[in-house]
Amino acid sequence: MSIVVKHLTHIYMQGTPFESIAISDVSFEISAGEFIGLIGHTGSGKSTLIQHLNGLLKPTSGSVIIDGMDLSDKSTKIKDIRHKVGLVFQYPEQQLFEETIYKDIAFGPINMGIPDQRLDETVRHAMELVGLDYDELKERSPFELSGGQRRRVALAGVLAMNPEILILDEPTAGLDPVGREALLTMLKELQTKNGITIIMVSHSMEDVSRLADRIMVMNKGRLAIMGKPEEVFSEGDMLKGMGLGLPQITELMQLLAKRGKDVNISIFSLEQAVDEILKVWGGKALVQ
Amino acid sequence: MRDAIVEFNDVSFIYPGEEGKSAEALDNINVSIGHGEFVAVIGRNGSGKSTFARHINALFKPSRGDVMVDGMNTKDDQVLWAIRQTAGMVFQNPDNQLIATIVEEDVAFGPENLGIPHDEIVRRVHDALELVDMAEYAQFAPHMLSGGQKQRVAIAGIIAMHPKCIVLDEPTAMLDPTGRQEVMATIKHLNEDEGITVILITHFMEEAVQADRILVMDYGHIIMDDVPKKIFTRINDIKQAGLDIPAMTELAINLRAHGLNIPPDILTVEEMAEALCLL
Repeated sequence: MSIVVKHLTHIYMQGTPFESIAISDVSFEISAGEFIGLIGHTGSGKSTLIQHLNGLLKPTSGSVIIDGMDLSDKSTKIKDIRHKVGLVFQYPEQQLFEETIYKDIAFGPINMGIPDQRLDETVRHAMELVGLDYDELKERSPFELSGGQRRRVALAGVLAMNPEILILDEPTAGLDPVGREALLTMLKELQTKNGITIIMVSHSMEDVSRLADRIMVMNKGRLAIMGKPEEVFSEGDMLKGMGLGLPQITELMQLLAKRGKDVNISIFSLEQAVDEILKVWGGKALVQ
Repeated sequence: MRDAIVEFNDVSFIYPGEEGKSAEALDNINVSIGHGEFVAVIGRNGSGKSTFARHINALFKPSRGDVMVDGMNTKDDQVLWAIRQTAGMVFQNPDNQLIATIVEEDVAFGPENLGIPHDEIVRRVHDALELVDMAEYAQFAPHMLSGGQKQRVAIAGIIAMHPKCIVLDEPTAMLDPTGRQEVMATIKHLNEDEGITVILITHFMEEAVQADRILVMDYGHIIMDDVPKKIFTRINDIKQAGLDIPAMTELAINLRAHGLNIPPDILTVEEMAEALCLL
């Protein structure tokens, strides 16, 4: 299920004194099964952009085409699009409301009209996807769980609608390192094992560099750069100019390059860094 | 040893209604924080960090033991307001902390409640906004500000009360990288130049390494209490506590395992570059 965005522009409160351009002439394509990291400073247009991808916002001009269907087209049923594109907002656990975890997760599928006899199976499957034990937890209140687990329940509620595209706005905000790692591993598995296309909005260059096939960087309403992590990170000065950081490993490489060392400046993982440093420094620096 | 501004003596805390049901949120904590220190508190979710923080300005009172703030016992209701003026608290979500419609009114809220004369309030508000570098936004509505700016206004509101100590509970968790840097720069300025004691609860190891001292909490205990360089070389203990090692420390350890002669207690990118260039 592909996403094609062409010349998308969105202007808030057009024609009023408060008019502001949130997105300006943005075009890109995302293929089925990709993992995309979406990065940008606060106010760069990220949130406005993702709300176009499931029809919560309508373009001022330009078009959004999901799986061949143009969202601006009158014949396109927005409801169908919303079943295919799951949107997980920031702190989604604040949206839990039901008495039991089962009921909360079943809310979406019931509204979609899933037959009763398939409901148990749907909820069980969604809970398995996020690593929650169905038999142990289904009758518990979501409010008894830890923050990290509540977030999984919220995510299961979206996955229960069986989306083909999952968009997450800062899914790891506020989680501790263990909770963050577990959630990121789970997202990567949703992509690799279940074939779900994932767009993850994140402030963490580290997380994005590790998981994403491609990274898109938004700046002042425009798509500044889109490419593989190494392509994006080699533009260190540009990213810093936009108020964005680099992964620490990449920052180290670029600092070493500035100090005259002949190192690859687009490296971002620990393993790559160890290999590169051993290669460049060679045997002469070894202790023995 | 500097005089203590915050002292926990055999402090245990159990949430009301949880007696006998679950473990204590704080379990026999003993710690002393000196005037002017910058202390970071780290630990996984549920380790007791926030419960610890809320004891410092008497939002929570110990089930057992005593918390002393600048010599005042938090159990003594007579000194409650003096304690809260001495130790101000900043929370995670900036939107939950700003209440007025204009920035300067928000900052004035605390001092007004202290019954301070008008002229003095005006001076304090101005100085506080200067300190957090937000003076030019004095007439702005808070909702026009970025997350980092709102958080700095929240800090200014505390500063205007002239506290000796500020406790910040994950103040950067909801901010983007720029906002996070702004808030960290403000915190360091308050500590280094104004001599205010800072107690920072955080999940970000790169923030914790900027402190003079780190407390690591787990299961309601303080399991480590040391300078950052010492804390993060104890890799197994840190991972056991559910925490991350700073990327540069991990790289240093890996490079040492391959025979490179660099120090094991590197914390920042600059230190790593320096060490590599010396080889």
